[in-house]
Amino acid sequence: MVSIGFWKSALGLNIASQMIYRLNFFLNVVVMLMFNLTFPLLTLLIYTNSAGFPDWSSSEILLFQGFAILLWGLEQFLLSNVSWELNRIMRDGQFDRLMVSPAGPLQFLVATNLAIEVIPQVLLGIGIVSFAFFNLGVLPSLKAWLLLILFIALGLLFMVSLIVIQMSLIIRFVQVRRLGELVRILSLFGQYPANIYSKGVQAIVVGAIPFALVAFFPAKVLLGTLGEFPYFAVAAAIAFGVIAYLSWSSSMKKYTSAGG
Amino acid sequence: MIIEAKHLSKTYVTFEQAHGFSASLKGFFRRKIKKVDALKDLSFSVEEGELIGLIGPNGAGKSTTIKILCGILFPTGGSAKINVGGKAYVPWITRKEYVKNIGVVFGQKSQLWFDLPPLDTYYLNKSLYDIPKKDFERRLEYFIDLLGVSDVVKRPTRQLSLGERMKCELIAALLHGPPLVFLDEPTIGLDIIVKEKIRDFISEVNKKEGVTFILTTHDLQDIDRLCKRVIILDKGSIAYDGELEKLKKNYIKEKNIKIIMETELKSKLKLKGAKIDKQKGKEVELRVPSNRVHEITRRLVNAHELLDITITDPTIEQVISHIYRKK
Amino acid sequence: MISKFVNLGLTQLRRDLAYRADFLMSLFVTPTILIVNYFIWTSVFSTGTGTVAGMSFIDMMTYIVFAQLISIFIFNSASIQLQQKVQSGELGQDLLKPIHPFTTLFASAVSSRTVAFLLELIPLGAISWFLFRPALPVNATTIFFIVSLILAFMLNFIMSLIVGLIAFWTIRIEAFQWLTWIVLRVFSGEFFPLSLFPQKLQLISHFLPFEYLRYRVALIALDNSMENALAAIAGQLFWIVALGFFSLWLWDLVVRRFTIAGG
Repeated sequence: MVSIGFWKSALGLNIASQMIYRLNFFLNVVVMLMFNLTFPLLTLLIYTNSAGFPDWSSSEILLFQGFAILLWGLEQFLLSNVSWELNRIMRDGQFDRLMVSPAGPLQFLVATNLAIEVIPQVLLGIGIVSFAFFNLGVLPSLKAWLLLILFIALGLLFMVSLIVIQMSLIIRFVQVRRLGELVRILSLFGQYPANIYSKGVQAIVVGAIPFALVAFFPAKVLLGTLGEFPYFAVAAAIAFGVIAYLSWSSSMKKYTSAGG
Repeated sequence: MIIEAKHLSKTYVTFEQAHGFSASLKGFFRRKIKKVDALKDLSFSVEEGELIGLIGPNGAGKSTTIKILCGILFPTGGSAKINVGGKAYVPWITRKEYVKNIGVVFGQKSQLWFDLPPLDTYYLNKSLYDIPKKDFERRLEYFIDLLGVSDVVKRPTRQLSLGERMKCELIAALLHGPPLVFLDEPTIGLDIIVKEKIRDFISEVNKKEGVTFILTTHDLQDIDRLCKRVIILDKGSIAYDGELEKLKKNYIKEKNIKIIMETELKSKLKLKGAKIDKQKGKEVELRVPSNRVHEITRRLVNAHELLDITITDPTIEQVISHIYRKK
Repeated sequence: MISKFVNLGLTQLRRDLAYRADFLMSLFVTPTILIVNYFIWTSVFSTGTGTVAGMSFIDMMTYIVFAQLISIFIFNSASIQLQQKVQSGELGQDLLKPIHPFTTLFASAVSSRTVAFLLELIPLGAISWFLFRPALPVNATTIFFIVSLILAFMLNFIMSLIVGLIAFWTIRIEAFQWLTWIVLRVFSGEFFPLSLFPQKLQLISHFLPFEYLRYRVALIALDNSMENALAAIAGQLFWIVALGFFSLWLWDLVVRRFTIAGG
């Protein structure tokens, strides 16, 4: 791990680089917002036209939606540019450059490709979560707050693991274009509260590929409606973390053995 | 000793490419393994403060050697120890810590951010390598002064010429004060004036700061100007490791002369003391001993009408074949 | 002649595969959207009066299926191709050819879709049949549906041309293409019926061309109203003509700018 100073510096350069074409940056912000708010928009329209999802009042779903926007936004801030950039780097044979960086290729890649245009979305997410929270007037216990932090951390671990696995494949096979897009499409399942799915699908979304960790459980734990502790989701997220670590090490080993 | 390499070997395992339908089908089930020996039993050592040229024909193993010494590739056999920053490193084992002590310039691949001024990249590196403020500012001022780029570093990289970029690239690689620097084709594609400036810079830093440089290049002028010692690689082994002067004296004893004649000769060109390598139409390529260039050229010019004449140093390949012939 | 057509189609299909970021994914996009929508609407309809914005559950799912079907049918990569022609300078060569580039773009769009449509229809059909056995209503308005589908293709093509031509002014601003693309998709009712929007927005939408891409076409399949079908087709024809002229005018503008500025 390199110092916080490096990340601060890298963030500064990312911002400076994006700000050169102001109009393009502004439009990028708008595009990202529209892109990511399309399905929350659907939720909004559902609630203005009907009673909404079972077990979720309109103020409760707002909290859920806020978490979804915030946490997926964080993931995009860190990683949405990374796979694209790595593809380009592998194709141009520039990976050696990353390897001699003291930050290591993974950290360097992420730090130098932060998606600044998603920051407004993250702020929006924070705003919605705060608004919904105060609107609901719930008083979560200390245990609930701790669980919240745990779920958010695990949700991020899960999302990051997916990307790291994809990057490992890119390093190994150079051209792996569509996998990231596939993951993004499947993450659609995580944009809605998991209880709307049938038992079978729920089992997958909660236990096997735990998209539900991203917004569903954090919202539920703050609302006090968590119920049983989601052992499977937690285990699955950790499993993904382990798989990501192993696949990355394996790809690194192959690269240092066979060269570019 | 800053670098100690012993019996380094590197074998790549590749799969043979299948051609044709039936071979592809067979290849699907069992692929033939092809082993390529990129390095064979390479041993050498480097003292601190040396400026060494690493040369050889393409595929000789230069980049493989550099990659191993940078820690981004591990060898199949042998060992390498690098003594920097008060510690002895095996580069590929503790890569992340090791690379803090080296500087690398990869020819055309730049570490400068494209849309931003090089200065921004320098400050990023300051935090990346944890360079103390005083050292950073001192070195920055020193290098900018030496290369004369005080305005250049403030302009976006994409606006800079190739020469300006390479100068800024060199600074980026040296700012954290590495005692060992690898330069891979640093003067490729540059005009003669910029090349001279860069060579002066490298020489100055080497002498004043005692930085050890390993330089790979195809430009023999680079070697001539900068390196006291050269290591010539050929097919994964060291063909020559010693002083450049000795190399010149013992092995580079000829010069190439290429002429274009006014009228095509009907028979083979006869010139005492010269060896004819190629004669096609009006073009003739010949070799003459270095100490007789003047005399033979005079005879040539007197005897024939020439449209053009070029005199060049021998190529690396010629030097190597010379070395082997001597052996 | 037919083989040339098929060849052109296959070449274009291969290019579509490379250009369209989600072609391979479209094998997953459509099923995922269908499945997620199925669950969303099943749970929404489980608590409530039985209609949402005037549509029943079957109505809603039928709408989603038809919206996807229309999307598959009308897709084209003309805007991307135009964009690339502008950026690469290929546009100059096209000006020398005797055929208007719009025509060649249209021909390749048609031929590629003919092949791809059938391919992509398979996962769509399979998933929707599996989920809720939709009854395919074949009646008098079916002919109008098919006509409207073809008109929607043309309308989408013209809109793609316009978006692609705008690239000429916004060469450094890729975000603009994405923006128009998203607006087009959301406000044409690709992901949900426009009837969900509040009345005021729906009113504004009536005066815009977007709903004629998908929403109005899907409605023809949903309700059996002849009048709605004819109104939709009339609207489509209006916008095809209006935007068609606009695109030709825009093209002239680009050519003039282009030839003045040099190749």
